[in-house]
Parts: sequence; C-alpha cells; structure tokens
Amino acid sequence: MSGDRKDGEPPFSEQPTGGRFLVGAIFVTAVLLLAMVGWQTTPGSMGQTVMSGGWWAEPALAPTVALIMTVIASAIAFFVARRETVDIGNSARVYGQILLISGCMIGAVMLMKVLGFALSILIFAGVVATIAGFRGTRLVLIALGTTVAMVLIFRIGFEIWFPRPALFKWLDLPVSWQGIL
Amino acid sequence: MLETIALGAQQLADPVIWIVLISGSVLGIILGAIPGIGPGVGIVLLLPITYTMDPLAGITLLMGLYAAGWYGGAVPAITINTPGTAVNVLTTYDGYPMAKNGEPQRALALAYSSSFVGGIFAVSVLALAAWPLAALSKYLTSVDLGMAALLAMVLVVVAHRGSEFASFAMLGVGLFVSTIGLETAYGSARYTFGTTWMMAGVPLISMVLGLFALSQALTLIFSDRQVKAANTEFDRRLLSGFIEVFRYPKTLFRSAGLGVGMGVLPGVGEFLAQFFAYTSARAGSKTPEKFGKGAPEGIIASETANNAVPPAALVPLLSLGIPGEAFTALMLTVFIVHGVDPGPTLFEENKAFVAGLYMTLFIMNFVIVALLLVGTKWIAKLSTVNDRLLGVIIMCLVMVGTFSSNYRLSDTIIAICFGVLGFALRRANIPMVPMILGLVLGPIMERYFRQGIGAAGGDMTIFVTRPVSLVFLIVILALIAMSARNAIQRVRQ
Repeated sequence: MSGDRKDGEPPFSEQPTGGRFLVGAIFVTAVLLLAMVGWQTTPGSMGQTVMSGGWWAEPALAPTVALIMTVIASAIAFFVARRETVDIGNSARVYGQILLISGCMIGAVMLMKVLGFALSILIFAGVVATIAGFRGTRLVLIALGTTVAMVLIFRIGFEIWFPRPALFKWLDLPVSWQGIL
Repeated sequence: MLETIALGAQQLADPVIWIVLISGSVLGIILGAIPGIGPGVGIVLLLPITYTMDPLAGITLLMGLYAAGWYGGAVPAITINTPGTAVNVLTTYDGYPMAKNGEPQRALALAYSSSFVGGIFAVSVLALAAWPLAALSKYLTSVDLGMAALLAMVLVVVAHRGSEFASFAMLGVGLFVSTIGLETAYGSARYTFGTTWMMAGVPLISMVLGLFALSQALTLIFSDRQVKAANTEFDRRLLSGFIEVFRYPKTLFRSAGLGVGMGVLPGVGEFLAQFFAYTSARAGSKTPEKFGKGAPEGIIASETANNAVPPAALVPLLSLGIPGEAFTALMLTVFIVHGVDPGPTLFEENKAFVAGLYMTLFIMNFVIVALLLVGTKWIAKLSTVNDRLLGVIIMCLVMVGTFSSNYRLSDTIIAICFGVLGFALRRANIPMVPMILGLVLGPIMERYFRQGIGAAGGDMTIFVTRPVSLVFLIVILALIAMSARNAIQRVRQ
C-alpha cells in the first residue's frame, strides 16, 4: 500500500541538516534563561536560606550550572559544526505543515470537550492524513480506521475516562454509547 | 538460589504478568519489524499505562517491548535488506545475502537462535551480578552515588563520537529542564514564570512522548521510503536450523560477552556492542572473506550482541539506581512512581520483585522465540506498511496519551514543543538520549550532591577525599580530556 502523494522528491534530504542553526538557537535560549536566573529562582516558602545553611542548597545553583554547561557546549558545537546552506523554502514548507498539524492537535484536544473523544479523533486523523498526502477513499478509510482503533484501545480496552462533551447534552445517546464515544 | 527461583515462580502465578509479558513481546516484535519505528516509540506510548500497573507488570511490559523489538528487527533486515531498528544494521550484511542465496530460513533461524542465546546469557549475568554489586553499593555515600550518576552522563556524552559538544549541550538542556518547577527540598520555585501549571515541573510523559513518539510520527509523515515487499517463501520449518548456532561457540559466547559488557556500561548500547562483536568475529574467523556475503558468524555476532544488551542494561539500574541509557531511564520512572527504590534496598525489601523480574526476563526469551517461529510469515509482511499511515496512527496515540495523563491542554502543548524539537534534532542528527538522561538523572544527582556536600559542611574536598568518588572523578576527567582531544583533532583535520 502506498500513499497518494506523488511528488517524488523527499521533503528534506537524507543528509543531516540544520544542526548549526539548532545549536545556535539553543545557545541564545540558554543565554537568555541564564540572564533570568536571579528572578526565576525565588527562595522557597519553607525558609530556604535559614534551613540550608550553605551555598549548596541555593535554588539557583543547579539551573545555573546546567545553563552554563549548555551555553559553553552549544557555543563550541556552533563553531565546530560544518557550514551548510539551508533550503529555506523547503524548510519553511515542512515546518509550516508541522505548525498546522500542531494547531490541529491543540484544536482536537479542545474539541474533545465539545464533540467528544471519537469525533475529535476522526477530525484530527482526517486532517493529518490529508497533510500526509492521502486522498479519496483511502483518506476516509484511514480516518475511520484510526478512530475505531483509538476507541477500542483507550475507551473500551483501557477504559480511560474523558470529560463529558457538550454535544451529549443535546444528543440523547444511551449512557453506554456516551461512555465509548 | 533455589529460594529466588521459587519466589520468581510464585510471581508468575499472576495471570497479569503473563498477559503483559505476551502482549509486550508481540508489540515489540511488530514495532521492531516495521522499519523506522522501533521499540522506543512503543515504550514511550505505553509508559503512562505502566504507571497504573504493579511495578513488576509495568517493567515486564516495557522489557518485553525492548527485548522483542531487537528480535523483530532482524526479520526485515534479512528478508528485505532494511533493518527494522538501528541495531539490526549489521544483520543485513550477511542476513540478506544468505536469504538472497535461497536460505532465508537458515538466516532467520540463526538470527533467532543467536538472539535467544544472547538474551539468556545476559539474564543469567544480571541475576548473578546485580545483587553483589548492590551489596557493594551499600558502602557508597551520597557523594559517591552522585559522582556515579555524573559518570553515567559523561559516558553517554562521549559515546556519541563526532557530536560530543552537541550531546553535551543536550545533556545541559535535559539537566536544566529537570530543575524547572517547585524544588521539593526547600519549596523554591525555579523558572516557573509565575505560572501555577509549571510548579509541578515539565511532565516527563509529555516530554518523552514529544521527543520520541511525536518527532518520529512527523518524520514518518514526511517520509518517502519506498515500500519493499519480502519475496521470501517460508516453506520449511525454522526450528530445523536452530541448532546451527552452536557450531560457532567462540563467536556466540564472545559476542554475548561483548553485549553484556557494553550493556552494563552507560551510554555504549546495542549499536557499539554489535559493531565490536561483528568486527571481532570477522577478525577471529577462518573465512573472513565470507563476511558480507552471507557468513553465518556475521549474523550470530550481530544478533547475539544486540540482544544481550537489554537485560545487561538493568544491572546498573537495579544495583545502583542509575540508568545508563534512555529506555532504562524511563523504566526508572516506573520505580519512582511506585515508590520502589532501586539500589541495595531493592534486593532486601523487594526480593519478590527482583526474583519475579529475573524469571519474567528468562521466560520472555522463550515466549519471543515461540512467537517468531509461529508468526514469521506474517511478521515479514509488516515491512510493507506505509510510513505515512503509521505516522497518522502514532500522532493520534500521542495526542490521546498526552491529554489523558492529566487532562490538561498544557501537557499537549509541551509535547508538541518537544516533538518539534525532536524532529529538528532528528534532521540535524543530534542525539536526544543525553537530554532524557539529564532529565531523569538530574534530580537524583542534585539530591545526592546536596546531601553529600551538606554533610561535609560545604567542604568540596569531599570529592577527592572519598576514594570511590576520587576514582570516578579521575575517570570522568580522563574521559572528558580524551574526548576533547579527539574532537579538537577532528576539527583541525
């Protein structure tokens, strides 16, 4: 079985890419977090400075050590990493789709409180399958199959509780169905 | 010894143990046999469920996945020349040529029997070595244990040759993330940005689901791997070729020994174990020219070594409470959730658990081989499953898994953030394992160092006046120096 997307070119090359940019971003983030250490590590309500009796229990110590380590290592990693030309257009397309999938995931979780477990999964699976390149009957089958599998695993198999959706206030479904969907 | 066996057998009377053992093994084989997934995704997806189980059942389920994944990964490596998992790469060198020469059953039988011997050998070593090591660890102080945790982290970093600095940075990220939230000793808020939902820290489940499973799902969704169908006839019984492995006892037991040795050492893992086993098998072979063209010793070396690693990796976890790699780090969280303290007390206070674990690990190898002997024909077909379809399914599992752990949208958002980070790390070929290890070992190390330095009144010489700590410190410094020297030489070249 194969997906319906026909574009033969892979979305990104097999070669590692973006490493220099990534360690650079980690460096900048670590420096920013290190700059905040003074006001982001407040002494505890249990009277830390009185109880601890020493520098080793300062709340700022562990994050500071971890961040200094990150700053040094990421800076060196940035300078020793090979220079590379990043295909900005392609990367933007891939990360744009990831952003879309992420938004859909957040939306589907929020929808669970409105439409219920099964319908939210159905919508989410449909959107992700579309982004993955499936079309037509295969898309419908994948979305439905995934939803049925999720209901069987989580609702029937592990009997995991989910909040009662608003939809069931208007739909007069049997209680056993509400527990599944 | 007899008492341990009887105690272990008692644990097996619980049908739940059998259910998780078989289901974990089945799932592990399936995930291992699908190229590009591997047992890691299964472990992180099932992690939240194991928290609701008895510790033995939870660990058995995860170990079933972990061990069976490597067994299952040999099937596509031999039938379609595509390793199911990264640790089966070397199996393709001789497994596929042997299958192509019309002997797929022989290649599979060799892979299964070598894996079986490797697994059983490693469980025996675990049973014999973990307890004495734990007994010795009773004499270790907080400073020694803190230093042992640091050594484990350094070993993991230096094991990633060629990307040591990036690995070190990822370890730092993991250590930093572990400090976020309300610190329990003194109630200090760290990097919570004034929010209440950050007080509990970054949820481990969301983080590992994002890093391992979601990033894998994203990679699969954008995958263009060409699906290959296995063109193999399974007309003869696999069992008939099972005994052949014992014709190469040197290769078999040397590889098992290397697998155990590498498994016990933090950060080394299956890949290096099989690499060393394969290289030494070729060096010691009377017919080295046959390697890469279907040599049975090649399959034996690779499969024995990689299957000896999972049980051996439990030695430092059970005896010292220090995991050596990501999967055992995740298993440590199962112990923590249930209030079971790995280390010397585990062998005194939870004898039944330890005996049960040995017994399930032993039985597990028989179950996996039985499943493979029965189901190889169908397992070989799993490699034809479309990557993008798997991506969609894993994505849905991650969404439900993150939300159902606490019913908080913030957990899903955290998983997405780490998922995108994991995807970028995969693209850049930067390892994620140091980050997970930093996250799990960070609080343990901080606690030990605080206790140790506090007891010494802040005197830092405690690290050099304690002999065990001093030895660990010297090893750490030597490893860092060697690693830095190698890295500098590489940069100059």
